[in-house]
Amino acid sequence: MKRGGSSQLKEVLCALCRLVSACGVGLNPETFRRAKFDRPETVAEFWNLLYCLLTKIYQVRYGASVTIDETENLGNRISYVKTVLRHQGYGRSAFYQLPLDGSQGSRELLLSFSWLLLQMKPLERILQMNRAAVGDEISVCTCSCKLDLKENQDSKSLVGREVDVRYLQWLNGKLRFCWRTLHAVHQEKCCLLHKIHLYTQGCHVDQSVSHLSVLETDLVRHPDNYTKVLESENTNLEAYVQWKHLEPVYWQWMVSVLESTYENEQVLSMQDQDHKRYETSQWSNNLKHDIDKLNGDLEGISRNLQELLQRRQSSWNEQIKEIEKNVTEKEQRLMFKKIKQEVQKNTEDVKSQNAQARDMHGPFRLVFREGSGTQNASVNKNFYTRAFYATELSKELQKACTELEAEFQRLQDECRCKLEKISEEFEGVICIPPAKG
Amino acid sequence: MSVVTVQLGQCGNQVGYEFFDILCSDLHSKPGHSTKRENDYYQTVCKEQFFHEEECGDLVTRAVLVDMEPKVVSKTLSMAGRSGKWKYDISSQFSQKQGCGNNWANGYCVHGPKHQDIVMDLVRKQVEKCDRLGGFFTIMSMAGGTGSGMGTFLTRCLRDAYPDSLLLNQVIWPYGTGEVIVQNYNSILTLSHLYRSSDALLVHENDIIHKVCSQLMNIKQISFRDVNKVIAHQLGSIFQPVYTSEEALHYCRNPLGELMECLVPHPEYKMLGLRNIPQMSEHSLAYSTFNWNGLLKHLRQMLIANAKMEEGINWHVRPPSQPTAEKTSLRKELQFNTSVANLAILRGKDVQTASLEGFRDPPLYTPWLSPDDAFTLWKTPRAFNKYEKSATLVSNSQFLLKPLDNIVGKAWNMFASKAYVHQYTKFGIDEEEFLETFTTLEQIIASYTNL
Repeated sequence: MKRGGSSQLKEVLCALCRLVSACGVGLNPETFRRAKFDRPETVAEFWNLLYCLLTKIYQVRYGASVTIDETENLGNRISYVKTVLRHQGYGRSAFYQLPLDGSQGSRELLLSFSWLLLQMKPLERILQMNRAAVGDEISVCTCSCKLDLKENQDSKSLVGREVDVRYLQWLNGKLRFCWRTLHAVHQEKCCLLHKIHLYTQGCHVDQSVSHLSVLETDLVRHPDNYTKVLESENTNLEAYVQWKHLEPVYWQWMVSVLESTYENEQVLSMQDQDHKRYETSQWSNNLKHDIDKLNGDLEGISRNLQELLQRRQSSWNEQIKEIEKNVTEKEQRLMFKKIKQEVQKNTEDVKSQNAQARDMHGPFRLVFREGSGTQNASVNKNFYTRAFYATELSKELQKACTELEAEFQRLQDECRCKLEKISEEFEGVICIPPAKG
Repeated sequence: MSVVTVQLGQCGNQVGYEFFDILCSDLHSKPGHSTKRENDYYQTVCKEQFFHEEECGDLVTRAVLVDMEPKVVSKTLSMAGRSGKWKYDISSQFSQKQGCGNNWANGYCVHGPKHQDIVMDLVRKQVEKCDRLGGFFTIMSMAGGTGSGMGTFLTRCLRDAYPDSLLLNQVIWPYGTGEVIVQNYNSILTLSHLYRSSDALLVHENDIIHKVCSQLMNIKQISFRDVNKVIAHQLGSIFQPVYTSEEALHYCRNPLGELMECLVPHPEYKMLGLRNIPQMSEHSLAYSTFNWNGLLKHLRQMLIANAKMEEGINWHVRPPSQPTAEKTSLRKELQFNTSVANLAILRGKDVQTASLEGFRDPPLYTPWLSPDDAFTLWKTPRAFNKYEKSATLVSNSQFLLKPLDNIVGKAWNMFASKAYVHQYTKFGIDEEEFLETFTTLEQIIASYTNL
């Protein structure tokens, strides 16, 4: 039984490693075993694993591509992981006390990894991320993000070094050309996508889509190219099935890991009980203070609210009484009806606006509709939520664009004013504004 | 990526024809030492850039032909049709009965706005045929009426209509002893206005090309066609497909963009000049062999001594040992030609063996750019236009300072005595505009002088 259990454990760990490797982290089942015994040599590996998983998860969540910075040093990675886990609500204080040099704590890390496995569902996300996308997708985000136009941090490093402004202009010009090239490439992509969608009208089995995507078209022409992609996806799925099948074994094993931590902790706590006690008491003091403060705030706010409500209510009552005096019953009924309609309309508007704001985010499938009566023909369809027209999105983006342009204009004017002020201080010097470009 | 070419005026149309003709004959010439697959891709990239293919396989240029007189355009169209290798889109032309009379203002203020809609519509039709519009390539003379005046106006329209597209203007610099009395006015107006809307100006000087024809090509009676062929050869050597980096696996599909990125990012420096080597008659070509070392040594000296052809190079000019020690003033004879940036394009056999270290010498460039930023190399083992080996240098440098200073000086003298100014004011170019033009050009001269 014991033997069978351990071979099963090995199997489940293998499956887990294979799944995790899809996000670019190569891991050995042996690493897990070593971590159980809190061996220090696996610590760095685990930190990296957590770092990669978390960055990938955030990439999926926010649509933006986050490249894993290979040069990021271990200390930064560790603090990143700690911050994210705290944000997610992971509560083991022993984890947060692990040193930043990555010298110890592989068992703690194993526990936190397992917690993450349940809490954030990274495996499912990795599967979602690495699946072969059949439809043509775009990634959208219309969430308003606060512009952070404060002094660029890099500019500080330039202070003290002499940089010819012409070099900066040169670099800026280079950037512009790159941007224009990128723009042209995007336009080409749209143009070709449109051609494919137009030419393959009616080819798709799914009536709601009706045309082939780029991948499907390519699949028709060169089926061989995709065997590899599909095979790798298959392996991933197989590993996932195996993992799901044997998952209980893993969690049982995790219980044993947790138990061994307790044993260790007891030994530990004998050693530095006082220290710990002091720390916890301080911590709980802090917490208590916070809770008290929050409670106080809450009470204050709810009192305010109550007062406000009462005031409003009495004023409404007075108004109603006055109106009632003036209006006959018939008129009243009509008015009620009207108001009710208006309210309904308003709530619907708000709801749809809300939904739209929520929906225009994340990956969307591009679906082409020819002559669907509306002006534009392209429809974006989210996988799980409602669809919307491309014009809606472009209107939304246009709006954001105008806002940004206005902001840019404002900043430019500000700079111009500053420059003028500076140039006024030089007597007998005429400043000619630079050529546009 | 595709480029829409706009041929403007007599000069623009004639040069444009030779340009397309050379591209096509190069496509069909023997590939030299490149593999079949490479050659196929070379052809594909070239075709995508300047032509669209009809279903029957005919190559049709992505070009718009514009002239105020009908003669040149119709002749150009029929010549292309007779070539059997390529043709113009017959519907993509615009001509009128009467020219601009060599008056820039007439082209810019009258004919330009009057025919703007029709011409821009022709342009739009060409643009719609491109999957990816890289930009526009306009060819025109600098001194005439239609090409320069209307061409400048249309360049502005292109900039307004396609703000994100690249705009390269090929301008032909007039003979120093030109026949048109107001050529200096026309030239300065063209240059200053193009500087505002264009991304880069590629300049060919008629005087130089003429010398190339007489001294290198051994042509006794030089016709416009001979001159235009040399210009077209030089243009072709830039735009035919190349590998733009050492690691590149494919020919670059966006040479216009990459050219600008490495040469003209700075908005004050957008004058480009061309030198190429070797250049000789077809007859002597058959009996000549070259090695890269010799060619590049010549090319480098042509660059630093500001020689525009390989004959008569001043070999005594050396890069200054201390670049910032002594600034030569403009009016003094410019000995050493400082560059903002250079792009070398090598085509032909054994191109891997060529060493370009001589072009990576920091004193060749301005102190504010390192040679890594300032020098770019493109190459391909495929031979170009019957030359087994050829090298072209596109250079953003002080090479035009002297001619520019000359032309501005002459124009200023005329302007100071108010000569012929009324011919411009009557079409709407007032003295204020002239003064602005002078300011712009003086600024350009100052920028290039103080490199």
